[in-house]
Amino acid sequence: MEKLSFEEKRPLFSLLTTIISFIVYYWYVTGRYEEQTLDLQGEVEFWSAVILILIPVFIVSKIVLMIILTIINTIISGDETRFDKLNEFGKMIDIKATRNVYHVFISGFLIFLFSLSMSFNIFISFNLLLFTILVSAIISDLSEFYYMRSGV
Amino acid sequence: MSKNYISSNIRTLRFHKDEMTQQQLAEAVDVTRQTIVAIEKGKYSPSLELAFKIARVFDKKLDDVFAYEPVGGKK
Repeated sequence: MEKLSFEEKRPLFSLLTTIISFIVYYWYVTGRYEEQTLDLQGEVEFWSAVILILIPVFIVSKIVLMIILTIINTIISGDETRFDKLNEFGKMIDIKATRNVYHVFISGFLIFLFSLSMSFNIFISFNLLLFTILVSAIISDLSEFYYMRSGV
Repeated sequence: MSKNYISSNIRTLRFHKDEMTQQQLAEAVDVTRQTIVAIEKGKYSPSLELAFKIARVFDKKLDDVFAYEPVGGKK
């Protein structure tokens, strides 16, 4: 197999970061959830806050990853390429990856709305949304890797 | 996946220009090395602006660097 360039490794590292940060965060919030006894309103507030906080968690973890990767790359190869630098090829990949994320997220969001309308358990409904966000983030990284390898 | 019908002879031109590296060419036209790799492999069709920039680096006309090669007779 052809050796991966650093730019191709970046989405893979990003994927790893996404999965690890999600597992840690989910483990933490389910622990908190089990400690509490919540009524319906309380459950909705709890899971809404969980989803709202998840987004900055993902953003911060990705920023930290970018910094670490750039430092490692500069130390190893002496190449000062910035991983967040986007040119037209990168932008095209970004657009296509975002399109894929949009399809996955909208599907998940519709399933979430359907589960609410069918009076599913709040825990199940919000977990559907939470995992939709995770799958969307994974699709984003995998799409980026795929388009980087196969071209656009 | 849409097919790219734009082929290039960048690799040959780099070789004749003092064995210029992909990184050097990337820096000259202000893109990442990955973009040059993708163009050379025919996995990405550059924008008109980038194509002109690359041709200018080699001091060639656009036609000398890139070629449009439709597959299956479609034009």
